[in-house]
Amino acid sequence: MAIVLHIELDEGRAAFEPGARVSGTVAWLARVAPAGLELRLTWASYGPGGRDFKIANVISFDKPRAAERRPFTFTLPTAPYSFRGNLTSLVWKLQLVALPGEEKASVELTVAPDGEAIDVRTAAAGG
Amino acid sequence: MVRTELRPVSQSWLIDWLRRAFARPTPRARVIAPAVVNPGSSLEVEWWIWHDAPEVTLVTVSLVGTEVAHRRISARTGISVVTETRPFLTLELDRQAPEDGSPVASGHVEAMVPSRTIPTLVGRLNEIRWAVMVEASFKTVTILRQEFPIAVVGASG
Repeated sequence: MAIVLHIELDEGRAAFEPGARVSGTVAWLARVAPAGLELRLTWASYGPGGRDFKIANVISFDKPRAAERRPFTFTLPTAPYSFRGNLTSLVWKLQLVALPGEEKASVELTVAPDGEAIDVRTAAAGG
Repeated sequence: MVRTELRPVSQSWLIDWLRRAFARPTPRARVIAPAVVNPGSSLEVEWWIWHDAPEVTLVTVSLVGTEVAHRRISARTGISVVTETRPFLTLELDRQAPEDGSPVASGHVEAMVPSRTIPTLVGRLNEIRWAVMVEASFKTVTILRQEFPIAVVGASG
């Protein structure tokens, strides 16, 4: 099933404090209405052995039409934080998923104090 | 923050083995500190070390944040898990040279947990661990390295 998926964040803002509200609009365009659509708030930690993945929250869009726009709002959890390390890193994403084919569009979010991912690669000296 | 006696998780098996092999008593450490702290909060630590021998020349107590990654590797002999660790923060809390002949050293220190750091992360493959680390050495040889895990959690509001 060919489908165009789009996520737009309010004010184009993609960096947030933990616990903040994230809002925006999702849009999709297909020849036939998809069976379902979900917006997933996810995070994944990456390391040399692979990733740990977690879906933190889901919004299901009921009875989607073939082409539509719908608003959304999530409240972010207080943890974990987005970070970059020497060995591991953690990335938050919003994923718009069309069911059942699992076509996806995603937007990366930063979730950390001051809306800035913590970079411990520069903190190795102990500060 | 409520302080409690922390439980150690490890001492290098090699250090233990070498000391037993040479009939040396193994030093013991005890740490009282909060089991949970927030970034930017104060960390108050009381520590003791009994070394039953006048050979400890330096004791250091540090707050250590470590990246931990587990990786499965396959070889002809089967599959095993390799764990890599990389400390990203070592904040020295205390450093003492015990008095000659004294079997015990102790300290009471307070420090700030860095405000911009990574909280504890539990995962199957990737983790962030925090611990109060007590190390005792004789000249350049480490004779005790004991980790007392704590959790660093992001502020909830």
